[in-house]
Parts: sequence; structure tokens; C-alpha cells
Amino acid sequence: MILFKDVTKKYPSGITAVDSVDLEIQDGEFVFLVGPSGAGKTTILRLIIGEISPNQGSITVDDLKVNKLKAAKLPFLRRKIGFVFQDFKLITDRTIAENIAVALEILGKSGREIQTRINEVLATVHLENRANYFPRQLSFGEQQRVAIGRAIAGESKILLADEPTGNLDPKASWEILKIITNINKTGITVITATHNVDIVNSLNKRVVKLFNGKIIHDEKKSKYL
Amino acid sequence: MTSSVSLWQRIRRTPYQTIAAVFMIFITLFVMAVFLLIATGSSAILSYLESKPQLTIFFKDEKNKTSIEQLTGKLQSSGKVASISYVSKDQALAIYREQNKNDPLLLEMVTADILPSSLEISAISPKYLIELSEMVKDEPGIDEVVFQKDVVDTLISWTSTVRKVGAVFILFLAVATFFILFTTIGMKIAFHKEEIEILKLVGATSWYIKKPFIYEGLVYGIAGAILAWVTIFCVLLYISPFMTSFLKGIPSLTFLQIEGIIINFWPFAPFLFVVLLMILMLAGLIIGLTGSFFAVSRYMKS
Repeated sequence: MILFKDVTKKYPSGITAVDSVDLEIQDGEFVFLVGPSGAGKTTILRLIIGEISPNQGSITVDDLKVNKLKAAKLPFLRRKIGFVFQDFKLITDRTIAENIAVALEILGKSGREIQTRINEVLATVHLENRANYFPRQLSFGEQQRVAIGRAIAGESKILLADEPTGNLDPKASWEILKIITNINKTGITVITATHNVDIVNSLNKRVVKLFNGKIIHDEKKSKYL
Repeated sequence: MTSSVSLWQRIRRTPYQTIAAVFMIFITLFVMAVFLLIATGSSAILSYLESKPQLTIFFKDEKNKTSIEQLTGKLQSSGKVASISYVSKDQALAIYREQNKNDPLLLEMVTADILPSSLEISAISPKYLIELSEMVKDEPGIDEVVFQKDVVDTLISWTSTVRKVGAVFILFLAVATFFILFTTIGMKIAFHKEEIEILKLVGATSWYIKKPFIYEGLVYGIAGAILAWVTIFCVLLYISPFMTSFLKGIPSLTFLQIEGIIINFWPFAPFLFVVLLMILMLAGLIIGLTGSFFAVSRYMKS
């Protein structure tokens, strides 16, 4: 479970990116974070993984108090959470299989376990025949699927996606959404920040709408509005 | 723990930086080994000389055996003498013949008559040499008192200069090496900045991220040490014949003595090379570890 209690985040520039937000997301939920640019979507995701800390309020992920977490404990929070970025953030000089392996190596898995899991993950994201390619040899849509594969390869129970379809054409975007929906069906909590109206409207999931750092709408089985 | 990108690949991808780092460590360790050998070698020669008869009293022909025995007794009762031995004219001739056995001309010209008899005295400590020579100086029938103090003094000051120069030289080299290693590893960290950021985001621990860079520094240190060792090994083999003639008459020099185990500096003992390798490895590891450790803590602040 992810719990925000009265969370405020002000950046040093003076902008209040998140303003007194209360938010509760249950295990296994699928949530869209929507709103215009600068509404605070990305800030909320960065707060969840402890990349930045709030000026006020508390954030809890399962049993971890994120805002009170010591730097040395941060990796253990991040192993619970898979993160997918708009710009993929793949390691360019490693193959697809090696990029996914990273998430498993940090957990200290054996070589055989890693190989088995890579094969499973590549099947989930439909990239079975791309294992030994380098990221630049793949299309954007395929690269994003690798990023998703890496995010779910380890022990994560939560998948955060920040504009996962931002750089993609409609066909590739739908493919990504289909994969994310399938992942959610296995019980993984999914939070997707997006302003892709079509996708939000067609999936009929919980929608949290932000504006100027405040939640102005939060409804299950909703449309973009 | 397995890593899909090996340390070897990391090193191979930046060959010139690697060569620079390994070469600097090699130079530092090589110079260190050379100075170490010179310093220990010269102190070994020094202690050899100090253990040798350092005071020789040559007698005039008229000095009779009884008075020499009296003098011997007098010196021994002073408590400053470690050993004392009488060399008769005949013994002196035997020594002379041994030393010049390859030169028949010199042998022909000399008989026992023209050689003086002498007392060879080894003092407990070099500081008693002057006192002992003062004691016998005014005795009748003494031709000359020779002592090796001058030789020893020169050698002592020479050894201490070598040590000081060596220490300063090695210190400078070590500092330069540290900074080269620091920069090399620092550049690699900067080069992998994106990867490091990604690793942090997927939940890699700080040690997991730092480990390859620290290992890299260690590998440089070990590689430099092995290179230095191989080079010093070849150099010692090469100079071995020169050493034989230079150290003529000295049976052996001790490099290290631990609990009864003696490692000879001369003639070169196999174990000397083992000890050298251990010392160089340790120094290489220390340089490699400090360089990479400081680079990692400096460049990887979150």
C-alpha cells in the first residue's frame, strides 16, 4: 500500500509542486495520474521512490516510512518499486538481456536464476528474439518494453511509469499499455502518469487528477475529464 | 554475484588510461624495490664490516711473544673486545699467498720475514675502537694501529643518505601515482554517470555500485606490482656477475631474519624474491586501494 498524508513538496526555486496531498493506493490497484505539465505528477512518483523528500507530511510504502528512510536503506525501498521513464534510461553499452540482468544482479541472484528470469521477462514484454541486441538497435516502443521488463524483473510489487508512452506513436503506445495492464493482472500495483487522453478513457481505471500540485479529482473507473 | 559486464571488459574499453595507471604504479614500485634493495644491501654490508676485526695492531720484529700475550690479556680484561686473534708472520704469509695466488711475481718477492705479525681485534661496538687504539698506542714494539672506522663512517653516512633520498623520491612518486589513479578512476566514474544513476534507481546498494571501481584500482595495483617484480628479477639476474666481483670475500649478506629463518640478500636466495613479491604486492594493493577508494568517495557523492 502507498500512503500520502498531507504531503507538500516545494522546490528550491519556490515552486510548490505538490500541495497538501492525501492519497491512498491499495495493493494491486491500477491508477492513472493525470493533469497538465507541471501539475505535480512526476514529483509524486519521485517522492514515492525517495529520490526527493517532502517538506511536510509523511509517505509510506508498505512498512517503510519513505520520508524518514536513511540513505543506506533507500536501495531496499527501490527494490520494491519498478520505475519506467519517458526516456527509458537503458544502459546503452549493454545488451537487452544485460540491461534486464542488472535488476537481478543487484539482488545477488545466481547466473542460472538470472537467465531463467530474463527469458520469462522477455516473453512478458514480447522481446524474446531481441535478447542480444543493444538498445540503439531497437525502436522506441521496443526500448520502452525493455525498461518495463527491467522494472518487473526483480522483486518489485509496484510499477511506476512516468509518461511511458510520451515518446511513442499510437500503435506502440497501445502495445505498452497492454503489457502494463497484463502486469497489473498478476497483482502488481501500477501507477502511470500520463496525459494521453485516449488511453485513460479507454481503460476505465482509477484516475487521480492533479492541478497546481493539488488533487482536484479522484475517482475509480473514471475518464480523463 | 555475477556481473554481465566483467571487470576485464571495463578495463579493455579504456586501454590508454589503464596503461597510464599501471605504468605509474609499476615505476613507483620498481623505484621502491631498487631503493629497498640498496638500503638493505648497504646495511648488510655495514653490519658485515662491523662484525669483522676492525682494529689491527702490527708489531715490530723485535716484539717478543710474551709481551704480545701480556698485551692480549690487557685488552681482553678491558671488557670492550669481542674477539682477538694473533696472526704470526707465517700465517700472514699464508694469507698473503692466498690473496695473490694468481700473481706469481708478487709471491716470489715476499717471504715471512718481511711481513709483520699482528693482532686482529674485534670490538663489542664500533664506539670502543678509539679507546682500544689509545690503550695500545704507547706500548713499545708497535709499528702501526689500523682501524676501519673511516670506512665504516663513510658507509654509514652513505647509507643514511640513500635512505633519505629514497624515501623522498618514493613519496613523490607515490603521490603522483595516487593522483593519476584518482583521476583515471574519477574519469571512469564520470563516464558511467548515467549507468550509476540507473543502478541507484533500480535499487543497487552503494557498495554494489562502488565495488567494480575499487576492484579496478586493485587490479591496477597488482598488475603494477607484478610488472615491477618481473623487472627487478631480471635486473638482479643481470647484475649478478658484477655483484660477485664487487662483493668478493663476503660470504653472505642477510636481507631479513625472522625467528631463526635467515633470508640472504647475497647470494640471492629464492626466498628473497618471494619476500620482494609480497612487499611489492602489498604496496601495489595499498596504492590501488587508496586511489580508487578516494576517487569513489569523491566522485560518487549522491
